Parts: sequence; C-alpha cells; structure tokens
Amino acid sequence: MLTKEELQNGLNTFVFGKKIFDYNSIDSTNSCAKMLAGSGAEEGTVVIAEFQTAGRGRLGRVWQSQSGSNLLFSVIIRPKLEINKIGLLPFFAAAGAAQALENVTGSYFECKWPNDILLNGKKSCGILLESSFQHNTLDYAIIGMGVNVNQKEFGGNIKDGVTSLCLEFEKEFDRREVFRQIMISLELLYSDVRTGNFTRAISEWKSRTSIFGKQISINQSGERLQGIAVGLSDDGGLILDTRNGQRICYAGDVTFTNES
Amino acid sequence: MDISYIKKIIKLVEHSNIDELELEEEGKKIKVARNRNSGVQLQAVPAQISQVHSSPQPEAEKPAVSNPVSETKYHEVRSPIVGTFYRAPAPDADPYTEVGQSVKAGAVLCIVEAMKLMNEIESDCDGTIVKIMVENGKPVEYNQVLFLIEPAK
Repeated sequence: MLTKEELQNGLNTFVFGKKIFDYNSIDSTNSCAKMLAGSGAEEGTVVIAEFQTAGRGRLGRVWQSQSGSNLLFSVIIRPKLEINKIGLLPFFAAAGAAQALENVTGSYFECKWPNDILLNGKKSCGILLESSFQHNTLDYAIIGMGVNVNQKEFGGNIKDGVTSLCLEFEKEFDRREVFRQIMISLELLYSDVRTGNFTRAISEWKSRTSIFGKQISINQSGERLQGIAVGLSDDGGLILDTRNGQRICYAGDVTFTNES
Repeated sequence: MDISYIKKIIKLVEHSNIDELELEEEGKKIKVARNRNSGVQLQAVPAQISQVHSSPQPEAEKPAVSNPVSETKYHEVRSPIVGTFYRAPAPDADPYTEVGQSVKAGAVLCIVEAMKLMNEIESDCDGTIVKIMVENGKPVEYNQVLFLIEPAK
C-alpha cells in the first residue's frame, strides 16, 4: 500500500500533498475529502486510497480500478474565486495532470473538453471535480483524479476507450513518482489560479486540445447540439458554431462527428 | 375551473378582508393571496403537489408564486452558475430533497453541473422546501431561482 510517508518523501511542494490521508480501501476519496473539507481541512489536503468501494465518475458513473495498480486521490482546494471563474477549474486540473503525465513519460497527453485526459486517443486519467457553495460563494472544491498507471486489463464495456501508462509504454511506472509530479504541476499552476488568474492554465489546456475547428456533437440536457468548436468562453463554456448561430455549452458528452 | 371563475375569486379576495384563499376543485387547486404592496396575486399550482408528498408539515403544501420576485415571503435559493440542474447525485439515486421536506442550513439541495464540475448547492437557511423551480436535467442560468423555502420560525 502507498503510504503517506512514501508519497511525501521527496515531495517539494508547499501546499499540495502537505497533508495526506492514506487508506487501503475507502468508499470514495472524493466523498471523504468532501467530509474533511466540510469540517475545515486545509487547502492541499490529499485523500488517497488503493481501492474505492464506491468510486464515482460524473453523474455517479462507476470508476473501476484494480487495487494497488493505479492512483486514486482527491485534493481539497479553497481558491478565492469570483463565481464566474469556477467553471475554469476543470481546465486547470486537466492541464496540470496532463503536464505531469508528460513529465513522467515524455509523451504528449491530450485534453478532451472539459477534463478528460487521453493518451493515444484513449482515456488514461479521469477527473471529477466537486464543489460546495453557500451564500453564493465557493466554500471549497475537490479535485478527484483516477490515473490508470499499472493496470494491465480493463474489463466490461469500458475496455476499448481506456488505457493505462503501463499498457501504452509497456513498462511499469513508480506510482509515487507519478503522484509527486501531479502535485508539483498542480501547485505550479495553482499559484495563479487561486487568485482567479487562469491565463497559464487555459493556455496550457488549449495547447493540448484538438477540439477547435472540429465538427462535434454534444448531448446537453437531452438536446443534441452539432457544430464546430471554435473557442472557450470566459467562464469555460465551449463555443459552438451551429447552423442556428453560436451556442455555448456548459455540460454534456462530446463526440467527434465526421460531417463537415 | 375557467378563467372567469378565477377572476371572480380574485375580485372576491380583493374586496374582502381575506389575505389568502385556497381552493381545490376536481383535482385543480388555486391560491389567491393578497400582496401588501400590489394587491391580489394569483398562484396556480398543479394539483399533484398536494398529493405526492407525505410530509408531516401541512405548511409544505402551500404553492409557490409562478414568477417569484423579491416580494415573495419564501426564501429563494438561486444558482450561482450557469449549468445543468440535477436533483440527485446520480440518475438512479434518490433526490437530495423533495417538496415538503424540512432542511437545515448547509444541507445539499441539488447539483448544478458546469464543465463537469459538480457543484453542490446548499441551503442557506433552515426551513421547508415549498417548491422546486427547475426540472431535473434542465439547464439553469446564472441567478435563476432553484428552490423556494419557507424559513423555519
């Protein structure tokens, strides 16, 4: 099991990962981090587990991970953000993770709007951000990450779109090193982000996406929107040129379509 | 319940000392309430509101105004962001809250998702949920009213 001591050994960050709660098995690192944040845990606190009994993705979708093979963790942040900037947090998290994975492997990682990270077109890291508001101000946000590091087999109907570092590079990676790199990358970007400056995070994200100029389809609240992705709005929405003019999307699953 | 009948009821309330009148007829329910600033206000409600919920608090069955403004006596919980409104943490999970349920300040009422950031919206007062203003899975705008809460006394 990855222990707090092992993870912190050689970790030269000031905020991210300074406090770590390590578990062998837990229901969900995000749920635990939310509880800790709700009771005042400080920024940068990490909850990490070898196995989640109720790992989740967006809308409660199950996140499967083999025990002891991957990285499953959640980080608490408390940025001082204007409310219209909250939607930029997923880009920060994705950009930081992609940068870190590139540092570890030397290969390019792609960002898919808004926060999936792809390696050779397959999902290698999933991010679930959750936040809590009260009185229209952000109390805290949780960045939950699942990084497929050394898992060699994926079962069920997810196997086609999913991969791990080990599968793509045909070698095992030191999970502690992957973790440390992610903490460092996030912290570097976060020094701006915490005061509402997302310039670096967004430009990093944009340099890693292939979505712009492509014909895509988004399923948003039961409505299927088709168009060409042309940019990001100030609050992180995806700007689509559709037949009926420009539309901004704030949620939904993106698929690339061949129609031109 | 036709419109002239409703108009009659409004007149009746207007010219009386009654502050509030609630009527239920053939599964349809209306409530006419006098507004101190601007006379009489009509509040129409789908009848099922009064049937679905088994809350012990009769207060909860009070319908909400259709276009809530600051005049409402209910506390409004608004969306801090643009996104998609979800009443439950997952499609097959129970909703966080139902009409008629009493909530404490800090209780999670819903999720508004934007850019896959799942934002839990908490109640900022103790009270009873009177109305849920948005349908599950629908887009919400910045500052849109999501819930009406009758504050606890």
